[in-house]
Amino acid sequence: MVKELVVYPDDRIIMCGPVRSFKDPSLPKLLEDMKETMEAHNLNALSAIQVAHPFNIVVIKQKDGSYLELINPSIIQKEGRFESIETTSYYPGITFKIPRFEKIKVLFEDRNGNMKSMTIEDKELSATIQRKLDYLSGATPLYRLDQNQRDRVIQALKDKGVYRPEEVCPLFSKKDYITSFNSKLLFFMGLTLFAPLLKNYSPWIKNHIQSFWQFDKFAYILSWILMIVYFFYAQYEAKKYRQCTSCQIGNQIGVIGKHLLIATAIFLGALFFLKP
Amino acid sequence: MARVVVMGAGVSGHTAATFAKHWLGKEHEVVVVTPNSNWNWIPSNIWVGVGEMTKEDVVFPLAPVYEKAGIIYKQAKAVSIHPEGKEGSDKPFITIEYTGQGKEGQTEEVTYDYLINATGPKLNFDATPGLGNGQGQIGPYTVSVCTADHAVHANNELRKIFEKAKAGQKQKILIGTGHGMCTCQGAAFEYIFNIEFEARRAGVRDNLEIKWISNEQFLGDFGIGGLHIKRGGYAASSKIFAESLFVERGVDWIVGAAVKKVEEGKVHYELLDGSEGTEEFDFAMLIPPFSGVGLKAYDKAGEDITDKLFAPNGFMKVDANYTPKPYEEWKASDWPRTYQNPDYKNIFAVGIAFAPPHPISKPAKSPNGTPITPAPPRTGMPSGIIGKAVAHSVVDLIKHGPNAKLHEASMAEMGAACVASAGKSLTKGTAAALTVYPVVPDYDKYPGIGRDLDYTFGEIGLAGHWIKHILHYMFIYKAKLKPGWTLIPE
Repeated sequence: MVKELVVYPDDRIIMCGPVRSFKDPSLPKLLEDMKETMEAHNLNALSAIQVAHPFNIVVIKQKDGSYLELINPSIIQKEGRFESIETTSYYPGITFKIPRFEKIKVLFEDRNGNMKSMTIEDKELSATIQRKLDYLSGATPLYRLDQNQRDRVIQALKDKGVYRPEEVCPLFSKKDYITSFNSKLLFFMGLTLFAPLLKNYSPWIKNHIQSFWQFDKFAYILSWILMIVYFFYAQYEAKKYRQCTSCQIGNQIGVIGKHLLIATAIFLGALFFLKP
Repeated sequence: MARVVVMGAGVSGHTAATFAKHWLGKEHEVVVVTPNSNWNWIPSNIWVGVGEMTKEDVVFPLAPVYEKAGIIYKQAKAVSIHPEGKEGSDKPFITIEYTGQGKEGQTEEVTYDYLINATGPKLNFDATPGLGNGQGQIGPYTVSVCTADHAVHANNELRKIFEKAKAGQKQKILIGTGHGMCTCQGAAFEYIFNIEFEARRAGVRDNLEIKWISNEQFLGDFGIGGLHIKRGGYAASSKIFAESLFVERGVDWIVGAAVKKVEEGKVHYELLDGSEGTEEFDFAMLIPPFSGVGLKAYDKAGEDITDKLFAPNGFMKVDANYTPKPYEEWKASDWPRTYQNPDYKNIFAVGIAFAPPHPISKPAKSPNGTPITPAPPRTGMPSGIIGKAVAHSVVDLIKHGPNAKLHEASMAEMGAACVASAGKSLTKGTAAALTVYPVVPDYDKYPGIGRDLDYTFGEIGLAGHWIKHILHYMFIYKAKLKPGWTLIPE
């Protein structure tokens, strides 16, 4: 039976696991379905995850027209590197340039669970197998690109009207509202530190020193609460994005540390200069 | 008064002994028998191995800590277990041979009510010809970071390599596993990237060829069959994660390899496809395989019952399902829950000392019959958790009688966090921080990859290094039983 191909941005591509039982009758059926799908779509290689079956299976159509079934494959030897120009049915119409090994030795099991190995010296076939194996490891060709190339491909996909929001690191995320608010809070806390210098020039400031101290106490506690909220919200938000430098926990801790350090410094200043 | 005897004072043994004493108080005795005078925070040995820490930074003397805690400390190695006692006495005991405290060579019988075996592994260097010296110690051609002393030696040898590289000589470094059945790939992984980092810092990277050799079937297996890291709707395998790091740092790799023989400057290996190869080196750190420490067991009549208590690899049998079965029939329920010996209910085994039912990674053999499969890791966080759970069980058995419910800590229901250093520097260091749940995949509960992706996390960066560095101080603080130590998690 010809299977439906999983095409970007369909997230059924996300992960697959090993074939554990070779006695399951659905295994030979799936292999035959994959071959029929390859024929129907004129494909020379297909991994099971590309037809939404989450198993470590790759089928390759060889030059003589015969099929090679690679179950639980892994590369145990490699040699040489070259830039491979590739296309894949998951990203229709997109061409990738990806560094691949020229020659590989693949260890795999056949449909009966017998372990075999094969040396691939054909560069094109070697690259094809590596691309299919990447799918088994949860990586589409996009994952093998550097940031610039990835951005270009995502832009091309957007131009075609398809993209996954999580592929793109947001320029502004909702968590930035929290830091923005906290920065303003810190700014006003900082302003209060000037009150002792100005109290001799303004009776209003002199009369409100106590209020400024109250404000600083409140703002300091609020700043801590905001940073705790920021941390948990940032963690929640980080799960949505695949590539996002500002989503990394190290950055979040850095941002929190910076804000709390400033808040504490100002609060200590207020304790020293403002507290009646 | 009951007496709990703990054999071994590594992560799991020290955790079990200190918590048992903490919960039992002065009413009961806790005895620790260990041949070592120092406690070693083993995860930081890799930093000793590159000269970023000294031996003194990663070890501390056990005697004063145990004295403060009220634990009886015997610097001795356990020789045999007599779970039924001996003629004229039903009291079970172990025999020990002192290695310190001024009693070197003296033997003694130590009776127990409860015995916790936390002897850890024997570093079985001699399993690979040339890796050992034929007398159970490391051989002359390679180095190791398994102990603090080994790591000091490794750093001394590494400095010589760096000196030669500074003088313009090309040098080759080979790091990985020294046998087809090794575990602890994580330590070798950390060491190779710390060497690479130090080489760059020393300005000698261009003269170093650095290569990885491992019994893993794919990069990033780590003895747990790899893991998937969910980010943004994708679940990339640790294989991709590891490959990216190796390529980025210019480190080449050989996987699926069983090192068969080590000679001066050369290793011979066999690959999973049965082909053989050699790899030359100027400096090699190859992790040895682990085996049990060779404890014997005897019944009341003095008959050898070692086979009854221990699996053939020398690790102690516990409440696991040891029935041999093919990979596709492995179950999460095969893994032990209470770590109690099935024949002698007052004996437990924790950490590396317990016999796992089977590996975690998919088993593989070369066509020549050489097994090339990572052994399952039982170190770090899981060993601490298991040590604490067993201590809890023993305490409950003592306080509430033999029907007390035992505490459980199955590796198939337990998550683990791992922080793998890839360079030590407060501003430029990196470490990979990974969490995995459960450690042993449960394919029934989590079809496909056997793990819960919502609890699996992975990231590499400077913050990871800070965490690793903080953990170093935190765990040593905890092991020294400083104020609040019980609050620090395993």
